[in-house]
Amino acid sequence: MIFVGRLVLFKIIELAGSLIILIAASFLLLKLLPGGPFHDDTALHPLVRQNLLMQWQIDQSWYEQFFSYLKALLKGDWGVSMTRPDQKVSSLIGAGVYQTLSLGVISLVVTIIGSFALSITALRYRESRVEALIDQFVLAAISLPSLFWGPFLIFFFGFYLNWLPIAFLQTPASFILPVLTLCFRPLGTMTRILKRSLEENILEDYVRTAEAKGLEPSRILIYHVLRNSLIPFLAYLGPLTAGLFSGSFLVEILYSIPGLGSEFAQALSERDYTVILGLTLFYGILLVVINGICDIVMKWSDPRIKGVL
Amino acid sequence: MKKTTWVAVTYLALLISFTVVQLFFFAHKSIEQNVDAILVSPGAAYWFGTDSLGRSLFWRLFAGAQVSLIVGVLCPIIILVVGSIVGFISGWWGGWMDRLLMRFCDLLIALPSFLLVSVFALVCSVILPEQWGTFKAILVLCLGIAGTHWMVLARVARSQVVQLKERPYVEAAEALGGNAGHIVWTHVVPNLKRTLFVLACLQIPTSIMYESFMSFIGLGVQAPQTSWGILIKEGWQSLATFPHLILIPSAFLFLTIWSFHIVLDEVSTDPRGRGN
Repeated sequence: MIFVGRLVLFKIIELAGSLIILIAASFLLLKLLPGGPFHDDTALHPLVRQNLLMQWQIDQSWYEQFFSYLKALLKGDWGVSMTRPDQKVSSLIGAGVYQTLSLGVISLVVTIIGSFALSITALRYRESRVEALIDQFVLAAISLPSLFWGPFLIFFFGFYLNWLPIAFLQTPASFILPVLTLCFRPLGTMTRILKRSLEENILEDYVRTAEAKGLEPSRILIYHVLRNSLIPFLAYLGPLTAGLFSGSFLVEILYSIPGLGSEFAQALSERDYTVILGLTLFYGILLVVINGICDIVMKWSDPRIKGVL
Repeated sequence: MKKTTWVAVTYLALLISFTVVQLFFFAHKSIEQNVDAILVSPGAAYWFGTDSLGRSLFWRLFAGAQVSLIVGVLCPIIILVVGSIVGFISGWWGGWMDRLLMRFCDLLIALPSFLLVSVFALVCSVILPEQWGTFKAILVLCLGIAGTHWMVLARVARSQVVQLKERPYVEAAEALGGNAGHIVWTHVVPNLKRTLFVLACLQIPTSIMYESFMSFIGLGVQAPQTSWGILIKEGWQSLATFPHLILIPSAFLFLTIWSFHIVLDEVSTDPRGRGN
């Protein structure tokens, strides 16, 4: 337990450091950009402009702005949207986060189950047509851009066959197409990683021993080989989760899902700096925390890494 | 070579030659309007149909391929250069420089790439002057994609350099008084040339995909100019009524990425390795 405690403490310090760098970098980046939010409004009276600048604290020096921004962040005040001043950034995030997370979690589960099933099936029927087929599938899945896959699914199942809903996340059926669009590429990547790891481990001596004992091939694969092949899979789980939560970006635009991704896209096109900054930070915190947790779980579960620390 | 590899190579060769032919001989075809043939479905007269302005999708596709292919070639080069330089500096000098650079890499890797590319490209597109036209769009795309994808290559280069640094022949070269640049160039670079080259090539399909993504959300190429992202963006608005306008360009996007993956798979698998 002391080991885990030290690990967690270490991680928390590291995470805090990364987050502060992230905040500073994104803040400075936005400050460096030429043009402010009130540059286009040529009709503004100088006094009105002055008041606006004061209200948004743009007339202060950049470090004063940074520290007041940091202080506000810690208090939970993420500012308001620049183009829609009646909307708070935190409430925008709060409104979209449920959609994005539910889509992400379902896709994560589908990806994990799917990649387990595919790679174990491929190994069970090694060097047969089944394995070749799965290899082809993996390659196609990795190269499948959502910009093709999404419109294709929408057209085929939505317009042509008219089977499935193609927008919003209201009924369980409306999850099917977005999840399919989102999880195909990660499914290919994860199957590939797990399959390579399984292929390496299946050559080990203990597999031969198990075979000599007369155990069933599927049983050996699932109970013996799989357990030892999980490390690369777990190592990639953090980036995978991150990719699914943020990769929903395009899927949300395609399926008109009012989540964080479509919010971000809108903010990008409107140059709504406070929303961009807020969402970058939110994603950053989410992903840094997820990666940290995955790291701890991985180190904790592998006694070989445990000894090093 | 396998059958699929032949398909992929043939497809890529055809795509590249059609793009070059279009660029030099039929450049006007992609902007030529035929008001009598607006929104024609694919058929004998227009193989891939026409768009809402009566332009042939067939020629627009290859006009768009120019931007996609240029980005697909330039980005890996930038990634190779930036990644190697950071990796070599980090691995060769070590110490605080190494720790600083690698922490920075870790931080960038941990962030979602979609987000990073968008923000980076947004910054570039605001800073660069508007009158550069297509050149600016390509520059924004390249800087956005390459600027956020060099970290993995840098990490690999660093770990290789750290290992190679301990080799006897490198130590001997150091003892003989060779300067760092000379040793790196003659003893370290030749050893990891291939690895880094393959890693950089793996970014070709990624770059092409990001090009379409960024032009789709309006950060890359802008409307009068064309690219696959722009074609998909325009087609997206009429998916229900004229599906060919989006399904054909995006299918080409998929085919191209798939072909590059197949070819790279063939190239990057060690011939002595498994399976062969």
